[in-house]
Amino acid sequence: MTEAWTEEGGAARAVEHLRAAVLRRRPIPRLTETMALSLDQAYEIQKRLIEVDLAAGARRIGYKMGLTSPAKMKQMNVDVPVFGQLLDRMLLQDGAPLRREELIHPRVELEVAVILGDGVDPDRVKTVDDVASRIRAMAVALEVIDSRYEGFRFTLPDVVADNASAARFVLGSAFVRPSKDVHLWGARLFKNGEAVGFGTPANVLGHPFAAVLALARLLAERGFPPLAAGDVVLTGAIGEAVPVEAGDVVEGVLDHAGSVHLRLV
Amino acid sequence: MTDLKALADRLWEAERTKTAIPPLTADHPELTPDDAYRIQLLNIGRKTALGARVVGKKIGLTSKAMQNLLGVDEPDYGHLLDTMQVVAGSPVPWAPLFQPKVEGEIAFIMKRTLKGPGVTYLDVLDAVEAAVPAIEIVDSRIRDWKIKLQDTIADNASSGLFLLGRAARRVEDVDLAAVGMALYKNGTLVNTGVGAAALGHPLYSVAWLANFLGRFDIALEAGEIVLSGALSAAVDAAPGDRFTVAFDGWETLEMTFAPAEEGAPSGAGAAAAEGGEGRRGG
Repeated sequence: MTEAWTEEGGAARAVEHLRAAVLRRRPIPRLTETMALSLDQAYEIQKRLIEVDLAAGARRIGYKMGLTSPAKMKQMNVDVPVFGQLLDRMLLQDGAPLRREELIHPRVELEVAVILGDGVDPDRVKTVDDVASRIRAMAVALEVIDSRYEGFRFTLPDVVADNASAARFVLGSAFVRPSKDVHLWGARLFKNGEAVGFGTPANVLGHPFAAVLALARLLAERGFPPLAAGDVVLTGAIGEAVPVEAGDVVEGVLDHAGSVHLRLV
Repeated sequence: MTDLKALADRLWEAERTKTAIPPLTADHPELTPDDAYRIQLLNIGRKTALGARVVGKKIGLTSKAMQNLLGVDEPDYGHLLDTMQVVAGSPVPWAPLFQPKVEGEIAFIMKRTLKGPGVTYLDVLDAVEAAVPAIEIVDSRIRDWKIKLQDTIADNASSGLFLLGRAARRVEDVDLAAVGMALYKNGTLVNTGVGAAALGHPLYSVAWLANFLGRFDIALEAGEIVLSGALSAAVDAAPGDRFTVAFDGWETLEMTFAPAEEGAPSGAGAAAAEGGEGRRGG
């Protein structure tokens, strides 16, 4: 299957489809409907997809983790999370307007973002304590995900190829020092003033720093450069993703870390 | 072609003779903002040739209110010279000033050089050594502050003097957008603000500057000071006035203007280029 996939220029065609979805803001059928995709091939597609942006002047500023909650993992029947790449052009300012029409069918998730002060070498960084010592600051974050697939439905290789549905993200105004207690900090998500999600970052692989560890290992496995000082990591959704439309205002609040805001216009 | 050198000379003479002048745009309405920055740079170049040293930049027009007043939708910037820095404790000499106003701001000290385009607020976070409360004394060489955008840009973004606090903090140790500031004149509250007043977040303000400077191939250099924008409206000052600017849980800055008679007589010269009492030399 792999050989046939390569001969047909499968990766190049997949990249073309996914880019067309972004540019036209129209969803596409799942790649796996027309091609058999392994996880390796899916990451290869993601790599090529991002290379197009990098060649056009974008800069990779970090990574996002996906499928980090027990519910999501069960739903997708997986036991390993996935990652996507964050580009400078995805980063928004707190409270900034986001044009609904730039996206296909956006959803918003509340997350813990970490900003590294040091590299994370998976051979030497093995515990949550180790990770804490590599983090410079944390912030509450809203991630806007936007699957390029019809109905926001996909298999594991589909979502990996689609850069883990990454679209936009915004960090709260407060940057705080790392705390190992972050997994117990109360998190609340509000849409138009109404509370739509409660939880704590323990939903993220037990601890958001564990997501950083998992990411460091995945990057090494996939031949990516190791996490470096200055990289930002969106550790994974604390709760359910909330669909948003023009006119919606979303606020995320994380105890000890302040709040973060996004306006859909 | 507008003679930019001649317009720079007007500002230079205004400062040298301590005589405010009409706006440059009064008889040169064709002046563009880029022209105005060239004028600013001409006079900064003259001052550095005379021994002053550029120690940083200031960002102006960061509030919606100020932008609306001048009919613009983006900030501007000016240069900070070593001769503009006043030290805590000694009275600020009145003589070199024209019509000063006082603002509370958050200042940053750069750890790494930052150059646009493409600078995000995360890049700023990474490049900044520390944040510190500051007082900026803005001033205008243009009579009665009758400035248009081009006038203030040409006049070094209406810069005067500045005072840095001592409580430098790492950016992750203070919520820069949320920190409250209250400004008192002679013990009476005049106005209040929060960090977010500077373009939404003081770090966003610095990112704007780095990207704006990138257009002119200029970098924010390691070691430079950046004043990130006023947190409330500028407050008129008079000789002898005492200002107190309190930053919540951080630092309270005090600054007193010398009585008028203590300063040098009027017409004493271009103070910014010459330095003077109560200022810190290079």
